[in-house]
Amino acid sequence: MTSFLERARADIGSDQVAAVQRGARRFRDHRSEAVDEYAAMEAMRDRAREIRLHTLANLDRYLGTFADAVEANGGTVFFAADASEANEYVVQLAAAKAVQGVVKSKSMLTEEIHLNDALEAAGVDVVETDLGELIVQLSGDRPSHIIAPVLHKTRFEVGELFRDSFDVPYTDDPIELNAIARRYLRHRFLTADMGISGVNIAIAETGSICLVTNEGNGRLSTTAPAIHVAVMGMERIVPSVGDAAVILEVLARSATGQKLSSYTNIITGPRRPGEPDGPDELHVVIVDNGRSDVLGGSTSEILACIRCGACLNACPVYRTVGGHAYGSVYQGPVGSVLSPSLFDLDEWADLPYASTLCGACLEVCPVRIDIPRLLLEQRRRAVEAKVGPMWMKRPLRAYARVATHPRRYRRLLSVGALSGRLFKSGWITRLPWRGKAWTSSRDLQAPSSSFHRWWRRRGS
Amino acid sequence: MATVQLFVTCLVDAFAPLVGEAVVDVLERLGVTVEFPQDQTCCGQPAFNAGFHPEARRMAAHTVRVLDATEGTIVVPSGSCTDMIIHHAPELMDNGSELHAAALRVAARTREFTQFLVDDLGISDLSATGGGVCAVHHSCHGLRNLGVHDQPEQLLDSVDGLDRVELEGSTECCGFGGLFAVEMPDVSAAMLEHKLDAIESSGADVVVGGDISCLMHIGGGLHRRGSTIEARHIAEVLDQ
Amino acid sequence: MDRDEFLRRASVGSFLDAPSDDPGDLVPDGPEEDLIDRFCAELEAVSGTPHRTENADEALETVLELMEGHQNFMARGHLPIPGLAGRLIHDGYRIAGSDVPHDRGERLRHQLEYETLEVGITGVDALLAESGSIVLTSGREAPRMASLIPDVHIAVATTDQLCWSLSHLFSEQPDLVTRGSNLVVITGPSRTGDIEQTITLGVHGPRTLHVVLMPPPW
Repeated sequence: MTSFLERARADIGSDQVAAVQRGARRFRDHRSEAVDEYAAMEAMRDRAREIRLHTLANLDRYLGTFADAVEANGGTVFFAADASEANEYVVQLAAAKAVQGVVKSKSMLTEEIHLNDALEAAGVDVVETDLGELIVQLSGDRPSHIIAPVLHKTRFEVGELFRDSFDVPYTDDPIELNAIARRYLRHRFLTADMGISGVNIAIAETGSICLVTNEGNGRLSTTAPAIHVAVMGMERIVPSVGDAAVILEVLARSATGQKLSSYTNIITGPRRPGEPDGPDELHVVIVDNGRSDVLGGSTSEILACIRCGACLNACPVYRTVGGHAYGSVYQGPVGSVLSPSLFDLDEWADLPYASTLCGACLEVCPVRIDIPRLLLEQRRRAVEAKVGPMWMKRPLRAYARVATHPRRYRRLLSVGALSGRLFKSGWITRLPWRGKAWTSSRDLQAPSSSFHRWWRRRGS
Repeated sequence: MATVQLFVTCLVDAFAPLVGEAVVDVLERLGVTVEFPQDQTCCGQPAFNAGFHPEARRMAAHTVRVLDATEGTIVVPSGSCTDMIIHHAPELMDNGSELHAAALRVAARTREFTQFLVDDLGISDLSATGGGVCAVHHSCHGLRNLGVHDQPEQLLDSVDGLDRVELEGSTECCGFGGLFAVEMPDVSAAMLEHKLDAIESSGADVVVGGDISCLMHIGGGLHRRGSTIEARHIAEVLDQ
Repeated sequence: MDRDEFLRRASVGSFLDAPSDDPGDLVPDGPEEDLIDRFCAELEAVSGTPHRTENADEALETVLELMEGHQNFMARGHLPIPGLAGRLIHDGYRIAGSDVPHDRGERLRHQLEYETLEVGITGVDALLAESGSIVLTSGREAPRMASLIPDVHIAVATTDQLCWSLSHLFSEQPDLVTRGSNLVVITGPSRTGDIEQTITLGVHGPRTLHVVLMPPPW
């Protein structure tokens, strides 16, 4: 697998990353405005954090309460230990109900477990209904942002894609492109046999699931088809309706700067007797897929995440390299913590190093996850498992030996100063070996003396 | 007045001793007695940030021992090193151990340079003089982990003859990030370019910061561009 | 996986600085401003259109004006304007059936007709002033589709249905969430910014949202 650095190198400076940067900045600025306007924001963030931590501390209890409530409402709950169990359940359900067409509303979890692939392999036609995800699907691309999948695409690219996919005249006007997608998808919604969604946040006491969208696809795909399957990460839950309100107050504000998204949808069971419409069946698939391991480990705090994407927008590294460079379903700061814990540490050990630890992420996280601390912990784990930047071990060990012996240290300072003075201009413009990584883009001021020496000479 | 211990930091020691001299000068002019525990070396931050805890622990432990044997406020001309000593060194020590207790004692006494001047001494005017136009680069660790923001601005605004302009994106990371600068060089360079563009379009002739690490990165980039803009540590500007 | 085994894996000894009790909601102070004015301003800010009327007759006239040029509508029951649906039918507008059959083939046939549905006329269960939102629950004679599938959504509400925010609403009426199988908080028309962050309205939900406000009937 390529490394983060290799992927970043390929993407930095591209038009796509420039588009991501513009988009991320806009989200970041809108969030700022929304926060300035909302006097209760800081108190809400504190409360949101408390709610999420309390829930995670009692996750088994709340999942149990939730499952009971879903079933009492006439829904069905399936507990999936991993991706293959989850996919198998949905595929078998589709087969049992002779499902031919599925409409999907955006869910990162379903991307994580590759649900679409499993359904398609079983001969079920799946169409993504979130406009960004539809574009991703049609172009065989990958999302570049947690909530805005095609932040990296220009309208010209989308125009060409729609012309080729739908056999319509070329246009790059977003309004016309939207109309094309709406026409195409409307028919799919109304004729699909099954709708699949994610879950933004579940409510234990009522057995409800919240879906937050702007487009309306979250509502349509969970209203028109006769069967609704909601795929839920086991950690995405709060105890009560009041808790959910807190989460909803901070979610949209943090993500896009909206007070609320266009549609905040709370689903409690399938269609009830006497209700004119809605799905006849509701299946909630609760997925572990490594989350319980994270829960029991040293990076468990990351499970409090409510997937708003604010950390991505705030991150100067993310804005510089775009989402694809991370290589993972989960990108940016949250992805850099989550991927090495949820997935294979070996494979994802470089992501925690894709950060300057500037702390901008923590500043904006609605549940105040200490992402910099978690990144440091991931680095520690990586080094301990010997999959970190192990080339640093010898130089750091050597430095530690010197830095714990003051006389050796002072001697190193003298040697450094002496060597530095060889550079007459006072600047070093080229360094060998690893030093090239510095001088490839900047000069280095040559040492010429040391503070220790100055202090010694002034006496006192 | 007070007696303080100077923890000068390894980068200042080796690459920018004039900054250390300026810190001493500024403090002494204010009537503060400065002591320099000569056995000091490195706080261990580079190793800690890279994930090498055993190596970091050894260096942090040495630093803690040296500083714990002293009294008075420990003044550090670096936000990131201050952050390391206050927030991370204690965690590196075994809970309940003698070293842990010492690390907590040291952490409680440690202050970043501009915070010490403005918040502790209550001084924001040093009767310094200068000229030209400056802009402040707010280094991340100091800014977000210690709350250092207004202090450098107040101090610079008091320098007679020195104007100050805002830097676009002044609170955005410059891309140094410790070993990130050499571990993710292309990303670091791209972030640096962005920062340099902002500096060059600000109208400033000098960019001022509180962390020599950021300043070496920014200054190194400015020099590579052939720019006449300088990157200077705030202590040097205040010592004029 | 077996439920008990799954839940056992979800059990953890302690968790950071987690509070031991459910923290529950946080209801911030309400505003010191006129809720109606604020609601209308916020609705406009999200590209909805408020219509303030003095009584049911005016509200009726407003709805009739908004219906001009359209052919059909779906009603979601409990409209505060008495006789509204009847009047529209009388004026020649076709009312769409909203009862979706359970049989698969019939369901398909019925829902395909929705492709030509133009207007949805609904009441609301609550209004949120802070965000210009309307809240609808599903229930008997309250189809979800009326506020979802048509191009135009006309919501008729009375001013006593105004609440300040979502937090206030859920605190005052927690049962609202479970009253029906679905509760939706609608904040403006359907929208996306997915293509170059250019906001376009009417993606999969209504492109136009009208909220007709009238005083309560008593």
